[in-house]
Amino acid sequence: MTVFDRTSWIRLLYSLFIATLITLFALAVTTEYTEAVWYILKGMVAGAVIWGLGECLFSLCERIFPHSPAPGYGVLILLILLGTGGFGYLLGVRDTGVLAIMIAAAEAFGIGITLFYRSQYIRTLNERLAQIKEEL
Amino acid sequence: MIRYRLICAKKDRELLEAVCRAHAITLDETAPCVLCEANIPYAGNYDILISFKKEKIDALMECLAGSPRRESSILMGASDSHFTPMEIRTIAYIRACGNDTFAHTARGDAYKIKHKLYELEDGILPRGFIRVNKSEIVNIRHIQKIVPMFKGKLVLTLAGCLHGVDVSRNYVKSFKERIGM
Repeated sequence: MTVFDRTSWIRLLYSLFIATLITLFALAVTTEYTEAVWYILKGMVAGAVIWGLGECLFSLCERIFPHSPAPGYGVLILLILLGTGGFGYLLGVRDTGVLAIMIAAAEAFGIGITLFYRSQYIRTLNERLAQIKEEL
Repeated sequence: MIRYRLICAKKDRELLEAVCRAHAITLDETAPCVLCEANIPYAGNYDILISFKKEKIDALMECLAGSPRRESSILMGASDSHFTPMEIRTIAYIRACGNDTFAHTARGDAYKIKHKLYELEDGILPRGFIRVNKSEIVNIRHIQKIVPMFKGKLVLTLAGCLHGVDVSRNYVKSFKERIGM
């Protein structure tokens, strides 16, 4: 009998997340670190919004363009833009030039790393396919 | 081994002989067991006479062979009111549309077949075929390229298929296992 299976670890993550939220709310109400704690909570809400937007937009892309990954890159660019810009603004960056530099750097890094790992993944998939076709 | 004499319309003979060969049924013009196509009058001698409809030849072959053949090399496909034996290895993918099942060849032809997807999966198709979503089975030999999508789905480019075929998220794990990932 397995005591800790995959779903156990997922339950652990849920528990940690809820415990963190409760702790943060308690800290916001009962200590003098209210402002810092609200920053963290706002950040978490913004993260959830970005996640929700991503889920909706990626699904929409798959529905409209079921066989093309290209629109997914558009969604990724948008999410990085909104995420970096939004977080920067929430954390107090008001200078448009600085925000633009942050976004450009995040886009380059995010898209670059996605392209790199995606190409590796595609290559592995197709190499395995060629191998299994030879074996058949 | 029992041998059979085949009595059928001249135009169907080549096709029916091919089906018999595919099912390892031996034909002999002097055999006392006669397979006679329905509506063909037969007045010769025989010990056993089996009358069959041409479109039910697969079922007859299965009866004569004793059980459904495992990993058959031929499937009967219907196209424009005529029946065609298809070599299974030429099939690129098989798609279920409502109550019908269609086999699409690598050359782009489509034939209606009588089997359901689960029947095909359960022994008729060889191991080069794999279920990729609830309505499609593909032949791994005819996959030209695999493209992953952003939400975990895979899209397969197949010979004879203008659009891609999806490996839905529920089948991605088994598909990757099948190709050794």
